[in-house]
Amino acid sequence: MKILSEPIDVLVKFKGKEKPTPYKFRYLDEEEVYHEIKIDKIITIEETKIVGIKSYIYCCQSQIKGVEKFYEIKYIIGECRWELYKI
Amino acid sequence: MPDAYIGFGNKIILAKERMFCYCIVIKEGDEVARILHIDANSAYLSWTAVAMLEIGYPIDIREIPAVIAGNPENRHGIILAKSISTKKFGIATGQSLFEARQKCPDLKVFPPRYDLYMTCSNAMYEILKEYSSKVERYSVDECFLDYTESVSKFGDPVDVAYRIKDRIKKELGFTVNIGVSSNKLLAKMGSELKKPDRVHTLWPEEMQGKMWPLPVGELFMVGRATAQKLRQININTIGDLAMTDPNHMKALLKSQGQLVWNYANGIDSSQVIPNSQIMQKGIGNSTTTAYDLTQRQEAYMVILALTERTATKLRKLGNMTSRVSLSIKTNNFVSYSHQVQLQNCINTTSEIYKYACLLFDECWKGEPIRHIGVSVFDFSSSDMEQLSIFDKENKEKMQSLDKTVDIIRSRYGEEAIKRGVFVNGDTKPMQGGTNDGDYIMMGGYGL
Repeated sequence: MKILSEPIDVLVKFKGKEKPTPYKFRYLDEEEVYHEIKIDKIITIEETKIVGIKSYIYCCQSQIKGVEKFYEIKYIIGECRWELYKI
Repeated sequence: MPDAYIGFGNKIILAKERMFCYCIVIKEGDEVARILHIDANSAYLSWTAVAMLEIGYPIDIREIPAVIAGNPENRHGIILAKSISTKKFGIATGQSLFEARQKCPDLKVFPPRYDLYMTCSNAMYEILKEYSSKVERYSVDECFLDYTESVSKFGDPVDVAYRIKDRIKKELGFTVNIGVSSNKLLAKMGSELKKPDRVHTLWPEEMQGKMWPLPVGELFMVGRATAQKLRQININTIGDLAMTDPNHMKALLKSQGQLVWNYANGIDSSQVIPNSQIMQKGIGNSTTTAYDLTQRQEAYMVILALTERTATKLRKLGNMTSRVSLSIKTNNFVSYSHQVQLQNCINTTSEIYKYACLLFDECWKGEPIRHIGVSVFDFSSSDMEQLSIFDKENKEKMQSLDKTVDIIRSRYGEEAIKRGVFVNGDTKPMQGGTNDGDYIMMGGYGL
């Protein structure tokens, strides 16, 4: 997987004390077109604090353009925002 | 006349210097301090490198000739940190970027990211705090940890040093050097041995093998000028210095001579003091201006911008000052300063600014100015204040105004409110400093 670290719009459920659960996200491609991807499965959630930046990294699986793909999205806790981290 | 204690194993040795010989007294059963000095390797550079790798930058800048440097356009083009591979080009921290580029044309230059550095420093401190309640943040990339009382809980200090080093690398992504010894000086000297990503012990009995063969300039508190003076009298290594007569050193370098002689012999009795307990004796703020200042009015504006931050910090600490100092560096790198001792205590921006301008008028000889600094000293608590009949009538009003401005700035940012004099001008309303930390940003060992 390659690191992208692109900001994305995510539809998320925040429930009580649980970690946020992302359902689907959309990203802008180079031609400024939005692509929406439904998250089929969250495989792992890892908490990291590389260079002191606390984040949750979600390893996910989705069908993208007819192909099953693994990728990672990241929730940066201090900034309250999401990134498409690796794909 | 006890001078200092040196730890040897589980014994304490009391060293009394007498000309060329020592009288050693061993006190049985006393606990020897266990001090760790944790130093991030090429801090600014490695923190930038890891942050860039995290967002997909294709190269690890720690492995290529790269530096972190300020912007040369506003005359901040100084090397702040360098990668290990710049060593072979002779690039050193503090050099100008221009000079460094001449030595290595392919040099990659990255700007400093002070917010990131504070985040990294805080994260490192958080990990260290898990191992002892006594952690001194000595600078943004260095901490002292007093492990003495934690031995019974976490075990051998060297094992723990390895554990801390590996945890920082795994969790935060950067490497550190850790020195382990029985006092701060030796722990610091230990962490300066081979880099990166290592743990070194430097117990007093190891001094002879590990510290004494090093060049005298490597000793803490021996700067370029002192090293030169020492080399002139054929003191080339730390061992040479340790073996000399301390009285000779005192005669040559005054109190500094005694200090460096003590350090060369591993003698340091300073304690690890958590920063919250350190009494701050002065607050200063300075800046190198983007261009040489020649007009009085321009200089006044810079002084005001510097005073804004100095005064804000003074008030944040709940202090008032009775000594204001102003320093100037000219375009020919000639520095001078001027200070005034006040009868009463002040903490308002406008009053500190008034005295800073007074000092400026008294000392400025009209030459182009490169660097200005405003500092305040001699603090007293703002909780209790001695009133004076010479106080300004509107003193309380001004204090209340400053308090309100401080609250607005802390809530909405420094730019949220500024003085009218800065509107539509090029001069920034607040200048100097890189963050609001209560400790030195980089380097320096403020004993």
